[in-house]
Amino acid sequence: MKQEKQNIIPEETRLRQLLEGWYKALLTEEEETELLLGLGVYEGEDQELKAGKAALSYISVAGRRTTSPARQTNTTAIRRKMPLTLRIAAIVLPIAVGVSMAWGYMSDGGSTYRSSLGGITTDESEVALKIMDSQLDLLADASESFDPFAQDDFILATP
Amino acid sequence: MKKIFIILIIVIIPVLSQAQTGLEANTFFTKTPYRNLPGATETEIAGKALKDYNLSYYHGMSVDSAEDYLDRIQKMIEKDSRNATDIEKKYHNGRLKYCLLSFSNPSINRYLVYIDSGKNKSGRITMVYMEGKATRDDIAKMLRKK
Repeated sequence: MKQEKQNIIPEETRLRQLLEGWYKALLTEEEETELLLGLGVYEGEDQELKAGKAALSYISVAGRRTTSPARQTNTTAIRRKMPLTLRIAAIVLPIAVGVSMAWGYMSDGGSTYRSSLGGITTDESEVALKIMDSQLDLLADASESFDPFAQDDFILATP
Repeated sequence: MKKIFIILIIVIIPVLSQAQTGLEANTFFTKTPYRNLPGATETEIAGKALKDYNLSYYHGMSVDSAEDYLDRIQKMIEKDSRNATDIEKKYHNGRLKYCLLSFSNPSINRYLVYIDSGKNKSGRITMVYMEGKATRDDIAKMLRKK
């Protein structure tokens, strides 16, 4: 029997180490106490054998409980996916905006506009073209308005 | 695509802001005292919108009450005239009223137009810078179209 005990105790110790090491983190204090009582290493040889079986059974249950940590792992994975999703969004959104702006730029024939009126700046094509038109009108008037017969007007030009 | 867009931005911004670089008149387009004058109206257009005019860039600025700056502006025009390949100037009562300077080279033609449309001493000034493949004749036609 003593031989048997010697064989069992190292096994129990191993199980205990296993439980304390791997599963302790997964068990509540109550569950851990229950498990250690279940092991009953100090309650006699028969009890020890039972305790060993109980421990094995408990480990089996605890092992099944690893589904719970597995679920936790899934949750962690989802949590990890969130920043990834955000990371993807952070890459995709600027590209989408860039493509959209580039598309707008190209569909406008690759033109850019900037106008400033009384300190207000705009990039609207209509405004820019209107201002350009009025400036060209002025230019046309000025280029046509020269009166060669007026004494105080004179023109200087190089061919 | 993002890289292309960034490259476009990098290329376009300097083109828009520095197209008339090398001309004295650039001061008029870029420096504070002129840009802040009353009635300052500025427009810049680049690209295919100017295709009909055979131009690639247009930058025009009009200001009111520029009488205090007329001398300085006219000096800019005089300095730029020295480098022009073609000059057309109109004076009234000794005052420069209209000026069209051409700066032609094999790769691009550049034009600077100055108009003093103010009556008597009021100073309504318009300066237009254009560049592209348009010839001097194209510019003349463009003005006739108007």
